[in-house]
Amino acid sequence: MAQPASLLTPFQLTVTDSLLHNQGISVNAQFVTKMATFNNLPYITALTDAIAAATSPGAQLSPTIYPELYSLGSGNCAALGDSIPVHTGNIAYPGNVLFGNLLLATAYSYMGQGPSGGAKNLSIFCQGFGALVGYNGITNNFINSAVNSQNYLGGTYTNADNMVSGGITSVNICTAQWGNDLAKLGGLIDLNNLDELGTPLALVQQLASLGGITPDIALYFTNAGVSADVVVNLASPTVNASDADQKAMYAAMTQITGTPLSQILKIMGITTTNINTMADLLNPYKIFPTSFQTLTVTGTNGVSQNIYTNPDGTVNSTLNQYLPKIALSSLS
Amino acid sequence: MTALDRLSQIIPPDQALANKALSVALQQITNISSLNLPRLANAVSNVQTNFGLPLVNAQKSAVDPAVANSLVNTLGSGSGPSGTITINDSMGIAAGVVVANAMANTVTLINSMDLSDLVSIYNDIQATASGTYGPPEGPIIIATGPAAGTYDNINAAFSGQMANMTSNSAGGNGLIPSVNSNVIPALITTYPSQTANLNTNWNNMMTQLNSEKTIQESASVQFANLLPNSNPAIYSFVISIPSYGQDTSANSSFQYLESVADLTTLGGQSLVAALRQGQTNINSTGIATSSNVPVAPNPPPPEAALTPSQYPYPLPPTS
Repeated sequence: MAQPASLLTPFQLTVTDSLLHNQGISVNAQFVTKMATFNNLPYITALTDAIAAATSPGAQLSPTIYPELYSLGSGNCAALGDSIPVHTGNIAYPGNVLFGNLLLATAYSYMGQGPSGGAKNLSIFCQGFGALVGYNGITNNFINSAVNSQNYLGGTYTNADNMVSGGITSVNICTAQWGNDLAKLGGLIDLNNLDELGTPLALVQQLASLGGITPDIALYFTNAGVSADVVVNLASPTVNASDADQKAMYAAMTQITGTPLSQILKIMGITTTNINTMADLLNPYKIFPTSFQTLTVTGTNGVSQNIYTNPDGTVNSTLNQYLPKIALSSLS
Repeated sequence: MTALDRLSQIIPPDQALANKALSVALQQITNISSLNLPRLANAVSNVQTNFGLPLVNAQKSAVDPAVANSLVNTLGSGSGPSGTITINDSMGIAAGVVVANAMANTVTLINSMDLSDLVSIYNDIQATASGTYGPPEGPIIIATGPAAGTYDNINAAFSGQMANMTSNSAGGNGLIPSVNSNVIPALITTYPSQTANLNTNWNNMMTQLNSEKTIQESASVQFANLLPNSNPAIYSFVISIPSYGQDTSANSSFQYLESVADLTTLGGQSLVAALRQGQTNINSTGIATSSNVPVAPNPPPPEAALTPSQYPYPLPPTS
């Protein structure tokens, strides 16, 4: 049988031998000493002698009276009767036992000893200690998690759906329809370039990354007035295009239909219906035909708003009140 | 980033606004930038929602504060932060937690009081039970003290008897009522501060005992019913010592085990040493101090003569 290279330290080996012989762990010595001192106080020895005499068979005292001997002073000063104090939260304890002895017997029980001490059985201690350390750890996980749950998500909690969907339902709660629309878009959107979503350049760059720019597109762009250096470098991921160039690109895209458009859709894997021009690929209303009505955005006010207000694709004009400034203004 | 003000100059403004809103919304999806569109589509199509669970969807926070408070109040019975439970809360009495100091205080307080009346009536109880004041069947005559009187029998002497039916004379308060209603109240009157402090100490011990028993019950740990002479329990404990050594928060494993380690023995001192070694391992940066003893048998056991596991050559003829 394969064995681990090492398992135990020299100290652990020594502890093991001690525990197997029930040595090395004991009820706290200071507590035992204090209990001995307490039990030797004159009033305690008088009390224990009195109880021993009263509960001996020769005394013929009714056993129904015994509990009263073990509860002297419990209601006003239990220490003077060494009795279990009347206390909120008390649970049931064995009857006919003095409080000091109950404490000591409890401590001894943790060591596998009898009520008065005697031989230890430290495997009892090991079992109890391990079980309670484990229980405490698990319980504390629940407690700490409950406390931390009040600051969980740093105040960004929106609703239960978003919590379980990783935020997907914050974009569209009708996941089946939206997922279907997304699946038909092939590779249209670069999810690592969402800041540029909607720009003609981002669309062209994504097309280039998937299959390349067809000569037809370059021709359309040139005819629309896009700068020559931009047209030449359309396939470059680092190409820069001015807003004027991009506006011209968009104008060109509105003219790209038919076979050139089909080639583009094929390259990008798009099967969405009713895409009539390349420019339609920049219109969420067109690319999410079965789910656009439930597209939503959570604004800076924490409120979810519909992006479209009706089945005709009218955009919610109040959206810009609650979008982040960085999304609204180039000067932010 | 191409912000809305620029995008609106490039494509139709309403489409620009919709795209920008969609961009903001999509970026709220966890880790979306690590996906491609087909994978997102697949995730969206298969995501689970809380449709049909109105009570869940009505929650205004991840965990309702009432639920969190209820959990903390129900489970948080310990002395740690937020009521977390420590090993001292669970079985601290054996380590002297609360009880050692409380008992020391008790002795100090008792020694500052004159308890001769209490000792006297406890002695009367013993004398009565021993037959010094009369036979158990009576009459029992207690001559002096708060329980003075003539009683029909020992039960009456202990519990009280205002009218002696046998001798047709006045009875007495009885020994136990005299302790509870006379002697101890008199001491409380005489020593209000000491007795108040005694009560505080005893209540503290009672709280500790209640805590331990309650936690043990919740954990389904009954020391009286654990298996004696269980070697696996000892092995498990010893193997866990390094991790106990790393638990150095107040009232937790390291502190507890130090309190019960019998330092008069090599085993007890080795326990503390093993705990410290576990602590050292996490405090050092890359320097392990375990110095583990090899576990491989030395000398190795002889190899067993097992049946052949390879085909012979040439193969024997098949029958």
